Amino acid sequence: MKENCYPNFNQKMISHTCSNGLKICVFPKPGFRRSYAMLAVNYGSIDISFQTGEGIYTSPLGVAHFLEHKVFEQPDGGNALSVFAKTGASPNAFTSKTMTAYHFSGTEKFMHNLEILLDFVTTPYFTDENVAKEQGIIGQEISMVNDRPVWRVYENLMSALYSVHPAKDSIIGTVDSIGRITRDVLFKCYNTFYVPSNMTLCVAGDVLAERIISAAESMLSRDRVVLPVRDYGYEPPAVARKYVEQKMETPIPMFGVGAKCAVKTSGEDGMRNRIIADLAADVLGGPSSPLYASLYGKGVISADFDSEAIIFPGSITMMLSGESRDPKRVLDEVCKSTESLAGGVEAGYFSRIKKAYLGTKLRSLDKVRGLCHEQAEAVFGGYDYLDTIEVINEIEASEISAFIAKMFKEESVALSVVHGK
Amino acid sequence: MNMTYKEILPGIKLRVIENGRFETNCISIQFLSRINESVATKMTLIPRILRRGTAKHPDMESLAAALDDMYGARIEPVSRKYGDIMTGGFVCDFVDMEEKLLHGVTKLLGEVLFDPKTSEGVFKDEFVEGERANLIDEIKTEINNKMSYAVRRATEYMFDGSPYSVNELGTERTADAADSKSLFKFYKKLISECPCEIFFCGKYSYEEIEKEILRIFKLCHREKPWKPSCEKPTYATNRRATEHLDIAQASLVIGMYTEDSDIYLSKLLASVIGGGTTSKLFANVREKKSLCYSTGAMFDSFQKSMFMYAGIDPKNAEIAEKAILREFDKCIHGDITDEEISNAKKGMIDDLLTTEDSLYSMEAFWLRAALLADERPPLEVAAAIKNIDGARLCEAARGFKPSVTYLLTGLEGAKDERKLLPEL
Repeated sequence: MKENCYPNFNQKMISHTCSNGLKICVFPKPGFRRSYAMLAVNYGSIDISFQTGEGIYTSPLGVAHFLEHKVFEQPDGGNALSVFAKTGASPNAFTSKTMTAYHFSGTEKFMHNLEILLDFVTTPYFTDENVAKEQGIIGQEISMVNDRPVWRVYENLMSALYSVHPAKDSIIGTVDSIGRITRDVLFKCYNTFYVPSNMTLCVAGDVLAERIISAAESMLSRDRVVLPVRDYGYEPPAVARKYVEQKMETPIPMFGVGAKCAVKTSGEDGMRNRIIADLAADVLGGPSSPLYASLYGKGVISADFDSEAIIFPGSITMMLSGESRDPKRVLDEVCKSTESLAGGVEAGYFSRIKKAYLGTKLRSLDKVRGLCHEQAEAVFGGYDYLDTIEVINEIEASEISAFIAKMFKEESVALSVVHGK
Repeated sequence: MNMTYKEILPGIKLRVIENGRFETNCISIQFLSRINESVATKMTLIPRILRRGTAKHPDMESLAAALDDMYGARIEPVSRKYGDIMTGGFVCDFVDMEEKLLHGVTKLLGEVLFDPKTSEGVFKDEFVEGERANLIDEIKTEINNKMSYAVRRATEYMFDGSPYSVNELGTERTADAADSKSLFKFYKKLISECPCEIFFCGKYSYEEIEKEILRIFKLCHREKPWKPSCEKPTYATNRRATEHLDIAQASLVIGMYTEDSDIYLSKLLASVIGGGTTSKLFANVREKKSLCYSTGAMFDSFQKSMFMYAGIDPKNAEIAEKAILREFDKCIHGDITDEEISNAKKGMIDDLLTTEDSLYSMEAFWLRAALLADERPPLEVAAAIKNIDGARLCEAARGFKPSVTYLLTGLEGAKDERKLLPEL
């Protein structure tokens, strides 16, 4: 068990790696009523093709998300959600392109709830009947998200940016792809990825780390399983399409300007690259940026304009998104701004952005869910989240310029627009 | 945790919760007004216009720079609707680093509130026009989130024409009509006459906060305020409405109302019906019948209304409506298990107890408490919920009356090929 103290911001993290490879991270939060735990699996919608001892396997799209739904079902016919409800805990789960996570928060019986979490995630129960039932529910979820313009902008942008990498495909899959998911497919993917060495348990609250570690050690398999080699294919630097549009029910066009580049995202270098990407997103299109002030001031974009870095293994995507009646003008202005920033970022401006970014990171320590999510991402990236806060001040403006120059090459930029009908 | 709540100036109440657990400090200043469409528009627009620039920081860039320098302190415009009361103002947060930032942050907040960038004695036209255009777009794009849009439309049908039916953003018509002069006149009235609820939670004492707040309110002349109180709503009965859009999934909303004054009893009932993953709607309409992905029920304490909803395949609208009503009927007839009650209670109590783990949850809880004139802390409310039994829930269910059934569905069956959105 290791204790990392961060006296600059009064937070410590206790961590332990079990013999089976599971990394446990605990953020003590004395005085908090709510405790929060997240059991995250390094398995997301992009992990569709992988090599095991039996050869290369390619699953239908949407299996990670489908598993997220099914893992709650238990062999006795019950559902883990009902078990949690008896203690008043709030359980939930999510699937992203890179991760599946199961989590709960509650004010009492934390250890009991933790045992429920560890038990249900490690007890799969898939039958032909419960798979067929879930196809109906997820079919409705697909209809729901596909009716949302903001979702379509994002997924269409990914399909425009990437031609080979599975980031191009929808997290949730399609009605056709989930129709091809069977009990056997679920077991194959579950048995490959839902193993302790491919998972992390992150906890924040007024809790005792020793008890958490002891529970995880005793409840989970002690075997360390060899992980599969994931195959994302070779992604060329150029985007698949420069422009993609869709017409749907929306009164104001929505857009996403995106760019991609191959960059290391794991280990210490990866951590630094992630911070650089975050800072570059703020420098380029954050609320203090000249680009935002100019576009907002001229009424070209609305207040919900967002600039963010999205991390995949070995690749970073930048996305600037929002509503605009003139998305192509936004694209032009973004390109002009990146050209200028690639030539240099003014020192005073960058210093302010770093201060604000540091403040945002410190505020994140008050949010137990966000803290655990960040740490789970960090574990899968081979670093610790709190270390990122210590590194912020070391980042130089020249690194931001270089990153923007590398990211926003003409061939690697795409625009996604959803227009009204 | 130490809480102090005092009227520090006529109509201005300050609530300070001293709490050293958080890295962040939070200040909220909310002015109150009775709602109508025009007021909703103005209460939404004014904080956004104020946030565009002050006399000293005349544009967004210079304001943003000042905030960045205080480690990304935030001063965010916020407007909310509670029944027939509208609130508008700012929620502000900051993290102390090497230096204490309270003075700097409240000084800037005071500038934003009371020393706006003006032109010829009113708000700058450029700011007003920009924010008005954004607001109109925001009203138009409410349709992008189909379920919340459907609940809003159901609310409009339920409270047809009364203040309770007003959308918190106002309408495109009232936004169009808002100009620099009328907005500035309303702003002056807002800061001088309207009640104001101020909240602070963080690492500073009541005395430190009161001193700063009194300093910034020196810039504003207060007259005798009116007292906020919610008027009794009137409800439509047995109204049905169907509207069509080119969408794949339909949103069904069933609205009911009650006259029972025990809001937490009604909240618990809504929780039993559709409050979580063990609720009747989730367990039966979603899990057993596979009719939907999203379903639930919510009770509004100010409107005393309950909306039960589901996102469904358009062809299943009739089946889903019957399935939802069947779950409600079970409550009327006492078909509620001890486990359902226990799960719903635990979920609600858990939410209440953890209010104190989030600055923003506390801000929202105590603002609602002030408007409801219910000063019971979360722990006391939780204790009251614990004592509710099945018989009372059953009685509460019998007190609900049907008001509106609203369906937002696809184009199939629509008279018009495109869409039908009847004006109310």
